[in-house]
Amino acid sequence: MRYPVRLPSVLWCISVCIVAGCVVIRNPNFQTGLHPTEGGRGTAPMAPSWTESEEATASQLRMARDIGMAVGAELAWVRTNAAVSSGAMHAGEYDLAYVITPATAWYAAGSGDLHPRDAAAMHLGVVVRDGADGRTVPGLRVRAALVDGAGRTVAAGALPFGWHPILNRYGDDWPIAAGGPYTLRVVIGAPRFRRHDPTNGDRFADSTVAEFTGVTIAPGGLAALAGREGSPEALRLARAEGAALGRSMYEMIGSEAVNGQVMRYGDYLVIAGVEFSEGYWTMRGSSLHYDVSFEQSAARNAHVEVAALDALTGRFLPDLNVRATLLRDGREIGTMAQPFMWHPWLYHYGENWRVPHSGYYDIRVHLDAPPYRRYGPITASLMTQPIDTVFRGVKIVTGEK
Amino acid sequence: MSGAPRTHRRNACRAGVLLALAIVLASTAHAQEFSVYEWEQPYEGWLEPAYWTTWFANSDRAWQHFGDSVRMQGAVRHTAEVGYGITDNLATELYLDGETAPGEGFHLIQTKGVLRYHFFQRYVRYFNPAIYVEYYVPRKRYQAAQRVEARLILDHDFNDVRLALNPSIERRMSTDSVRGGVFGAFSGSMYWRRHYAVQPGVEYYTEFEQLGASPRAGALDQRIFAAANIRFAERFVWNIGVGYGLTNAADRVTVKSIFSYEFPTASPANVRR
Repeated sequence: MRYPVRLPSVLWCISVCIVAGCVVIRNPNFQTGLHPTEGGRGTAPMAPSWTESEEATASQLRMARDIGMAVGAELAWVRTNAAVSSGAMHAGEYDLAYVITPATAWYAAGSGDLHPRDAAAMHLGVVVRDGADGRTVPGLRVRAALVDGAGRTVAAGALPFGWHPILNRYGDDWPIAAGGPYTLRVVIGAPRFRRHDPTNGDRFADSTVAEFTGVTIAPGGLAALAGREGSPEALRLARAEGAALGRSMYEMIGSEAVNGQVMRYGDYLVIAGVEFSEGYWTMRGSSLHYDVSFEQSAARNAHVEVAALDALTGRFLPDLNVRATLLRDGREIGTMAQPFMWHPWLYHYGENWRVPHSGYYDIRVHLDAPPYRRYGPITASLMTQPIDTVFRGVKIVTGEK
Repeated sequence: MSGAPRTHRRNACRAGVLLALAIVLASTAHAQEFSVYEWEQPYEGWLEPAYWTTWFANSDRAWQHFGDSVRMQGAVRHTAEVGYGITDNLATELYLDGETAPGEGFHLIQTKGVLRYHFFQRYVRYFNPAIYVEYYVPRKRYQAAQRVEARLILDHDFNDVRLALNPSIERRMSTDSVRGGVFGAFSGSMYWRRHYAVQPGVEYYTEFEQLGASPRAGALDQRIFAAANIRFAERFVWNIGVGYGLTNAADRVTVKSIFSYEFPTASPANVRR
């Protein structure tokens, strides 16, 4: 009998595949430097992964994109109605925008003390959205510098995350620098947070630079726009983002997670859910590494996740200090910090746990107040206190994804 | 008068055929892979090279090695494997098999190609299902037929214990010296996965004769392995085991070692660039 396939043919095919692989797989660092973009120049744009995976179905990815579209609507509204100067570009794996708006009153982290509006200041905001789904990317280190035509730095500094009645963003109040044109240089460090999803979680591994050119600030324009971000229309758009996030949240606790519960507690909406233990990407040095160990043994056999939203608009609250305590029959199993976890369709705080066996547990969640400013007068009573709340009878089924 | 020699010749022919069949069955049993597959497979862009060694430490069986009938005892099989995740659900594997027969040098004997596909996400079904299709291409001088094997992979976690079941069927092509047909096999494993570094377990393997035949249980190749997965340096996995033959059709003692390394050569972000 003649064999349909012969060994030399197979070896030849293997050799061709190896050679082809060497040609097709390109050097990841071949693109360096700044490239022209629609708003100036920046790190070469690249769309992050947005594909079905172990962690996300197509419909779940669309839910994330709905959230991103709601953020996009907020950005468009702010640029049109509340910003004296704005611009946008694709840079690296982000959709970046800056908005210069009137300074507003703000509340310091964990405090109800109102800092009055500084009439001599403007608010520089940088909106960092995921280049694939448009969601705001939390947990970033953002720095900016405003440079005039002569190359002198007019203002520079870190832009911490801030809560706004509309369009949460990175920003700070800077002295008004009327005139221009300026160049606004924005640098985003590679975030250190963990990322779920073996396919889609491999993102944001590099620093990103964006330079918005031709930035002009019309003198007197800021005063005319003061207070607009607190309008009912702005609040409606912010709530639309919260509603889109709510659909993802109910998808998680209704379909994806083993079990989950939602609870309103003061100014917060808190969600606690349980999945199977799962891997995630972590930054090691300057590169991402997928830690698959959580899927390879039962040393951790459950994934406890918590999400916190502001009850006013339903938007996600990043950068919180979150701790969870598991209890069974009133006996404490343990307490663990729940670090922020990037997720392809529902950001959350989460950690892999070891529980003795499947069953019903109580989850006590502790949240510190947000460690960032809340801008705008409508935040008067918002999120000034830490909370402790207990989710009773949460079903945990052990396993590893 | 002349009937007796004819009967003897007929019996001798029958005995020869049975012996040839026994040798063929022995050789296919020898080609058996001592690994029970689970639902997990390389993620997209992950490369998993592995080196398999199987030592037939104690055996009174024989098999066909490049036309010679040689004793199994002391033989060592070597396999170099490369697995690659095409997508998160689809993976491919390539194998190069070699053998060292007692008193002889190393010989490359065959290559194998595998496609694996796993369904759903883990735990969506009671058993996590996957399929595995393997095609064997032996060297022409090596006395074995080309074969295609289809394996169903099922696994389920009972808290810290993972049960994996691998029923399979195999279609063997006919050659001048080997009779083809469809054969069945079954393997299963239970591993205690409580800890990451060391996971002890047991594995069970059996091969059926041609489908439709009903051999005695004692005539089947059945063996059980005491095995362990040892993980170290994060990406290295060493699966070792000692197998004991449960029937006369199996080798008495078999020692296996599968040393593998898993790493994401082409991370998703790099692929997109």
